Amino acid sequence: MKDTAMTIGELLDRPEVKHLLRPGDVESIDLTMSKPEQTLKDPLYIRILSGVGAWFASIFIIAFLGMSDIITHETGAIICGVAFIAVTVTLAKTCKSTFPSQLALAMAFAGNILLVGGLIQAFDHSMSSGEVLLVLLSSHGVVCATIYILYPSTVYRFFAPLALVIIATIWISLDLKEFHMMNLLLAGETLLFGILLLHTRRSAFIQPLIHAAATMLPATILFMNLTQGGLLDWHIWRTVPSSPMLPASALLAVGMVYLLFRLVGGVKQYRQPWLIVAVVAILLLGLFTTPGILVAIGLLIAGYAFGDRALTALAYLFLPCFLVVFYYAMNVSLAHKSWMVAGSGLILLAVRWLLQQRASKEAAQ
Amino acid sequence: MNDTALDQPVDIKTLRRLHQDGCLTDEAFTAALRTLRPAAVWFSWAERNLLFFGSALVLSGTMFFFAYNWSVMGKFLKLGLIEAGMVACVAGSYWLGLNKLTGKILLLSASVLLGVLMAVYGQTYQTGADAFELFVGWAALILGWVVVSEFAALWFFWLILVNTGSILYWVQVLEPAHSVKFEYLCLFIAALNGTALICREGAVKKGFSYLEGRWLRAILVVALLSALSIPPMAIILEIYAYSHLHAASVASALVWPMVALGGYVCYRKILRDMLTLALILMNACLILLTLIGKLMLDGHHGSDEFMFLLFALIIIGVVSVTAFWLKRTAKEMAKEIAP
Repeated sequence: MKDTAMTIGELLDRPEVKHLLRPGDVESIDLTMSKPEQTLKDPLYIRILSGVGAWFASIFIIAFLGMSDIITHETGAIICGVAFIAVTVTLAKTCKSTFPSQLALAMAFAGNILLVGGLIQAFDHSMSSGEVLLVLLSSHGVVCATIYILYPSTVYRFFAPLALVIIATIWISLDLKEFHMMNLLLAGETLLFGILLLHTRRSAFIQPLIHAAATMLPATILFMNLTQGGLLDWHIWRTVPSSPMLPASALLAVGMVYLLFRLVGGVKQYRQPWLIVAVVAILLLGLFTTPGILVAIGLLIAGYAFGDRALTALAYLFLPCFLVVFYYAMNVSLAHKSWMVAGSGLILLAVRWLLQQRASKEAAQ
Repeated sequence: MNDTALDQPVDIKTLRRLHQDGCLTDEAFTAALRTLRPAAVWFSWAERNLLFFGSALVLSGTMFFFAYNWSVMGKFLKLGLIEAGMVACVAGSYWLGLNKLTGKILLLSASVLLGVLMAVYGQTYQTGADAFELFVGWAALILGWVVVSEFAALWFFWLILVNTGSILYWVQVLEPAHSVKFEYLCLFIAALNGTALICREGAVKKGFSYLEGRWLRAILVVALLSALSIPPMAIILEIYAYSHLHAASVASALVWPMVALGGYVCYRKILRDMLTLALILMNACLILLTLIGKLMLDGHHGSDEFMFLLFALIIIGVVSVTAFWLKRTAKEMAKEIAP
């Protein structure tokens, strides 16, 4: 069943909506809808093509600079990085055609890498590897935030924040080696995703960051599962939890309950029977299941609620990937995993059955 | 009300934008949301997705359970449990009918359980069968259910089994005997997925609406192009020495441009699908850039750093031309489709 098809005018004319409009609301809606979109967004396939192309081009640009001895010293790298970023911003402001835009994107990636690499080289002499990673994390954070503000490319705004999480993950796994820190990272990502999704204007400025935050969550979960198991034979953690990641599950469950309440219009709706069923099911899943399943369900709900098909596609893509990786996670026995996975499925099917019962009762009344 | 901006169709995204812009109060937004997407729509969505996710998880859990190789369970209990599950799924599907999504999902579950049964049987009796036999046998045995199910997901599952069975057959039987070259496997996999794609397009034209989902077309196109891209890429990257090149390598490398060109014409002029066109052009970009990169960078050392800069500019150029072409084609296609 699809959403009701109607125009904005028809919706505002419906009595249940009309009496809640303030004087002047219709005019301000008309004005808002008359404004052109902030930026004309390319389709997803063009953004993927641009992103991958620019990424490879930036690698070859950096290879050229390296081979021609321009960036052998940190000063060269920093100057080149700043110059590239300046060219990116100028190109973005002055040219709208395809080639300069693509060049600007490649320069943005290359500039970011050069600037951060130069800063690392400048501090490298007196620091341990852990400190180097921390400098890398903070310098990329600052550079990424600056370019994010100055350069309005959805592709850059998606990829650069992802790199931040990748660096954080490398820092945790190579330097700290504490698996529980990954739970903290996951908590941060959940919080970021929640805040961006529910408490910001989903403008062209924020939208790529929302998608980046949404991608971080499943990527981190996959990494957590991969590094616990024998799939890649990685042994990077000091101790691997023998139980399936309860802090992360509980945290994600709380996040999902919050999302549900926000979607239904606040806590005042708590008496709705179907909401009680949904909340109990999520809390049960939080205690019982693995974070991967919760992330997949959360993305699915967010995608539908916000009409964001990229989130829905991510949820459908992530679930099979997660199940394959989870199969090989060696810290939990297959018997235990089978109960968790099948149990989670049974909880979902039970919720469906309860919803059906309620719907048929309502239909009978 | 005037009839300009307010005549635009409204969706959830627009409504949220208006709320976040402060044009709608919380109460008006909630009321508008309920009107646009009433509880019945939410329930229908939840029902469908809970069924998909729930069934997928229960089936995965069942597979995990039997993969554990329980020593406390006798072989009759293990096989009996799976058979009982299978029979229950088939009976449930028959009882509910295949016109309902639940019936279709139950038939898909029975198909998965059949494979689990075959795997557990092989594990219990140590039949010595190769893995490809499991997949080929599994695909053969469920074919009847696949045909009657009228369910795209089951067709897709069946194709995965056939693809896996074919690849394993080459790995376990043909490759050790050196009887069939790798290029022929690529051609076979491409032919298999290409045939599936043609059948899918034909079936949709004939009114088999359950195959209409664009995801199936996109996956089949990716599978077809990936298999066909391997021989030309192998030649470009010189994975085989040129002296070892044989007619099969060259012939299979020549199939790729023909299929890519045919696909482009078909999805540009007849079936009109931008996503498929983008996939074909991205694939062409990949092969073209690999070829250019190989010609420019291979064997150059020392003072040829400008080749790297030039190649970076060529990448940007090729991607820009492709993006420009895609945007222009999308505009033209939108005009052609518009009444």
